[in-house]
Amino acid sequence: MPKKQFDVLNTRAPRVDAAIKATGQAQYADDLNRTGQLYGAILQSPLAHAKIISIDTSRAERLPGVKAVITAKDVGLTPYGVSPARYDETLFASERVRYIGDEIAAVAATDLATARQALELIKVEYEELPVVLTMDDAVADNAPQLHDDYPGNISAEVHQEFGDVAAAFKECDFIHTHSLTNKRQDGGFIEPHACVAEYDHDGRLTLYTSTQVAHYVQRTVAMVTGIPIGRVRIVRPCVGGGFGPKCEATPLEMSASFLAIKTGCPVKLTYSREQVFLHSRARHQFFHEMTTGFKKDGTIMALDHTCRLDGGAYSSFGIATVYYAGSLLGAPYRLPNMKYDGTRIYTNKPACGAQRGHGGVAARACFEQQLDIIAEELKIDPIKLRMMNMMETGDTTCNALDMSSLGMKECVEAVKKSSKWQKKKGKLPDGKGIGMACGFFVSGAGYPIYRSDTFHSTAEIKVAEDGGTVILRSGIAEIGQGADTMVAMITAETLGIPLSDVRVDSGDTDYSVDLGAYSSRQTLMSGHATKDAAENVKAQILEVVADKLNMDVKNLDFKNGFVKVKGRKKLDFAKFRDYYRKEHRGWPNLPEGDELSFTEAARMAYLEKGTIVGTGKYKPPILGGKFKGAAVGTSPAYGGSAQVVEVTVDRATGKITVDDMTDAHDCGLAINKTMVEGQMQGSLSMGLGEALFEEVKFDEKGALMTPSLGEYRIATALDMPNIDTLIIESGEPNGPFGAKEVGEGAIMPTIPAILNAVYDATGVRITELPLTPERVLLALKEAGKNA
Amino acid sequence: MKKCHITFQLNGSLREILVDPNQTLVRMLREDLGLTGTKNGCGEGDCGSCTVLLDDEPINSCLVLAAQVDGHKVTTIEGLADGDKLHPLQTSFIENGAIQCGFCTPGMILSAKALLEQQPNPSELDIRTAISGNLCRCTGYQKIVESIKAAANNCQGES
Amino acid sequence: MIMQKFDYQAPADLKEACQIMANYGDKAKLLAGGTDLLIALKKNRISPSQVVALDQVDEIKGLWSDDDGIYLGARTTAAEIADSDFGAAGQALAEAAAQVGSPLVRNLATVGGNLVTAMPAADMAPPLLVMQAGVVLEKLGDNREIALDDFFVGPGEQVMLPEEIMSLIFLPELPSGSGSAFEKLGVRKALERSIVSVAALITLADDGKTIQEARIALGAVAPTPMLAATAGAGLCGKKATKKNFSAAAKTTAQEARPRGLRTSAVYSRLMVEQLTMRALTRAYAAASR
Repeated sequence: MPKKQFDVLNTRAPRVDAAIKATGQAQYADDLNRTGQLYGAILQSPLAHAKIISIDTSRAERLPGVKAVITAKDVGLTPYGVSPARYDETLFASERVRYIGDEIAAVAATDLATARQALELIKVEYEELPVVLTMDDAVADNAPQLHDDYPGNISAEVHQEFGDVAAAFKECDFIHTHSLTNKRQDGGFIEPHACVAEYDHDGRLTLYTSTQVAHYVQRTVAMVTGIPIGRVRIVRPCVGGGFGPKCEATPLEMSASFLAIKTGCPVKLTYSREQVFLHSRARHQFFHEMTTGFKKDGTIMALDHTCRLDGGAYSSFGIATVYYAGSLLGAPYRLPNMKYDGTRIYTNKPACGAQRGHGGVAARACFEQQLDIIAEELKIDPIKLRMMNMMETGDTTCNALDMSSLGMKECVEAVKKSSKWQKKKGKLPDGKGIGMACGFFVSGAGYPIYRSDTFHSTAEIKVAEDGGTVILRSGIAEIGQGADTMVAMITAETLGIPLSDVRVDSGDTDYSVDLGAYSSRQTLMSGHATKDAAENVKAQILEVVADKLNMDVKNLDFKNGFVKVKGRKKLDFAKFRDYYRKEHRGWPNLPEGDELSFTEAARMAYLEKGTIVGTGKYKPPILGGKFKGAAVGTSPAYGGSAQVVEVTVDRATGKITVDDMTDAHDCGLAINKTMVEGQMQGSLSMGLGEALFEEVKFDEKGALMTPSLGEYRIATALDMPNIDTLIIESGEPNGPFGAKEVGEGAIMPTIPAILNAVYDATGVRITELPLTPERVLLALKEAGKNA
Repeated sequence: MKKCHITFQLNGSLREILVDPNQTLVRMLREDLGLTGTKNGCGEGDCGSCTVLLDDEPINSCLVLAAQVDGHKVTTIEGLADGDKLHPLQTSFIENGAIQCGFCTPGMILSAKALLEQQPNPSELDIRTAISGNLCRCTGYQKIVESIKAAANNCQGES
Repeated sequence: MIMQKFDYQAPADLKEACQIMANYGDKAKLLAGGTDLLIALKKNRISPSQVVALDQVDEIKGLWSDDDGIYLGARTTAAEIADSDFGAAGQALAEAAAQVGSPLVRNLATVGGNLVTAMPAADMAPPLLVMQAGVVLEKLGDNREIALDDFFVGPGEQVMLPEEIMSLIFLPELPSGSGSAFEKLGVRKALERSIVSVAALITLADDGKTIQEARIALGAVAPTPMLAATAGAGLCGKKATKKNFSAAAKTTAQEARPRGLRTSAVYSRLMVEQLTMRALTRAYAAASR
């Protein structure tokens, strides 16, 4: 697709929120304080599995300074969760606790120390139940059961087959089986969850909260509290990262809401870092086994894939996770036959949910490692094998995913060239290795998490009465990825005005409906809604201008803040300029020059029609297949990426150093190049951490052994190499201005590229993450390849 | 628990305040003085989001008692800009895309400021070492490192 | 995280600090760098009625030396030690100090705190052990000096009485021809507790080839930081060769007493051997300078 010329898009404009964040002015949820505010604390179970015999809150209630104590008795037992098909949680446990950290009660007091002290005065009598911590134990005969409604501790099962795998295997020259296990992850965002809830005597609940999806929080809080949705307002302040685990309504938010309702005072609640780990909702542990059949020319024929996921005590996003773990192998390689059997299993641990690259990261790590094994078997360069099987724009996968644009081949070529692959592959000295992998991801889930015909995004743009500033109001979630800047740039480009004339007010459910920051959806979906709203505003203003200046509206447009006229006719606007200047007598910076400004035009429209407000909306067309689970993986567009990683493996200690990374990502069109690179680099650092360091561990009683950022190790500045960051722009027909995702797809190749590089360096395949020095050294030793 | 009467320099001004002995520096700044630019990410010295300068050295303010700053000098992110003129590091972070969620940013900038004051022309390893106690989950650190380099070059150019 | 209540005291000098400790005994806790104490307070692992900050006790800060050796104030920070020049003989100490936690932690954490908390993985303990450090423990009207090798008792335990304050660490003058090195293996490159750490010190005879004296100390592979005495002694009188270092490294691995907590004992021993080899090699290079 030939590239359009843009005035605002495709640049490196600084983020609209950068200055407040650089100076400490940016306000995050825990930075907010309301007059008369109380402080809350939550009582969490010290046992991984137990019956609750009794709860006595009387001593806590009598503690001076305590304003409210709530338990299930006070708030009821409305089941909630993420997917209505699995509402398996209640705010507080009443009869049974299912993991260490399960919520039992909450307290509001005049200060935090008193609230914490009150928790110690709540007496809970338990009867311990046998604990299941591993998937094997959970599915064993006579295993203790976590949920009466889900026998066998099976949270969800998926059985899909596309094509005929058994028949295809018969045509294959080789069949290979490979497996991989990752470890339970944590989002590792630096800002712990925090919120402040306020309830007024008119029955309005306002909740300021660190969330990725204000809309889902609004619906869940409304449902659980019983307050009509129009009286529940969620306001998202600045958010210090989310990466998935902040997608759903939390016990923190619901406790704060109930405590605010009960006390009539604002209530603040903040998770400690340990509570962030206890809340979890991050990446599952997956056990993948993949049997892949291929022909001796390298053609991949079929994949038989089984996966088990350790879900923890509740479902969270897990239903989507178990589907994604299968469906995201449909591309980017031509794979005509694919069978998938996935099972998500309950255990007495914190619930797992969504995390960057939802469901697909471990699967991709397993499959891309297997591609290298196949390439080696066939003595084909791993890049060549991938290119032979690579899909192109217009292809549709066996599970009905439509590759409406796919710059995968361009990505592979780019990393191959930039990394000097051909000079290095097979030619590096001992202990040094090079590896590559590819990946792709959705640009927004094709369907909302609850079954609905809702718009996925709506937006409202209002023009200030002086015509000088355009205010975008939207429910989008700026969580650090740059969503506010993205919609501001789309607004400015669409309206033909400078970026500095756009102000974004976002993250408020009063402004619009937006499904928020997950599944890499906002650039495509919220971008579309924004563009739609901006086009609406533009049409309204131009209509007035055309009418007043006696022009054909078709010949008018805005560019860089001025009215542009097609053809030779000159605008005669002297009367209007005079009038504008008179209206603003004494003001600085009045319009001058020989062009009519957007400001004057917008003022003209205001005087004619009142406040100019334009709305926009987007929902994807009907997409994808008709089979059960087709909704997960289906998207209006798919981003793709390829990576090359170089490592050094210390054969004596097992310590891996990642020396170099080269990453190419097809984002359709980079709305903001700097921000696209930022998403790529951030994705790779998360992938590197998962590959080398990160693991949430529990002891034999189900207690967290890694409840801190000291024990749970994310990459430091010294662990990250510089990344050669290459943007590929394939032009997505279904995206606004051709744009699609970058936020999650970029993590997909990282882990397998590292695994493949480690193999290249050592000749040893490691099938369990993370690649700690001990794991690597012991694997090398077993193979007789340690120094 | 006797309150402690402390006097210290905060962002260039002398402050006197009564604090609880068990109050940490980060909580005093955020809760008693309303300076919420200093963030609280872990409370255990693992993340660096509470970094402030104590007598010009970057430290984890979650690991210092408020009472300990009596007689000392504390600089927080709010103390960097000179009126509406941003510190060169702030400008560089903004222009070079070093900021995403922004939660680590105040700490990063303060660690970088201490570095540049000691080493006006740092190597990449110096920079990465200087910010190795400041975790960032968004950026992969690359644009932060580039921003610090650019700020160092700008400051060199000026002097 | 909120700490329980306590009173705060900031004595002006060592005498006043000793007086406070004499008055309160185990109800008082000393605050030096705070990087361990504040976490222990936040997690309710300890509940002192008094927290006694040593910030103003200037006698126990900084480094100075005389003919006998180097005096290291217990309140000296890891950052100050990392930036100090201890010569070839003491470079292991500067190297270890430079690998404590992060720059932010190093600006707070003190050498005294690193020893008093008695963690098996304490970074600065192995170099101080090979340098034959002694520690001075003060109490009201009295003090005693003990060898660091006799200081540690078990994880988190040492020989100090509740009313004692560590004031100084004394590093005896090492003979010329001495060199040392420190090796640390962690998962990440910063903010890391050692999986295994090793310090080695070698003193060469005048021929520049014969080892006159050698000491090897280990972190994180026993209930306390420890000297690998047999391995060190075994090198004395031998030539500084790869073969002899390798034999010493093997002996060191046998001397280690890993508990298999964070990594398997098998791996810990393998790493002791590897890191000892590296530390000896670099210590020899330093001694040869």
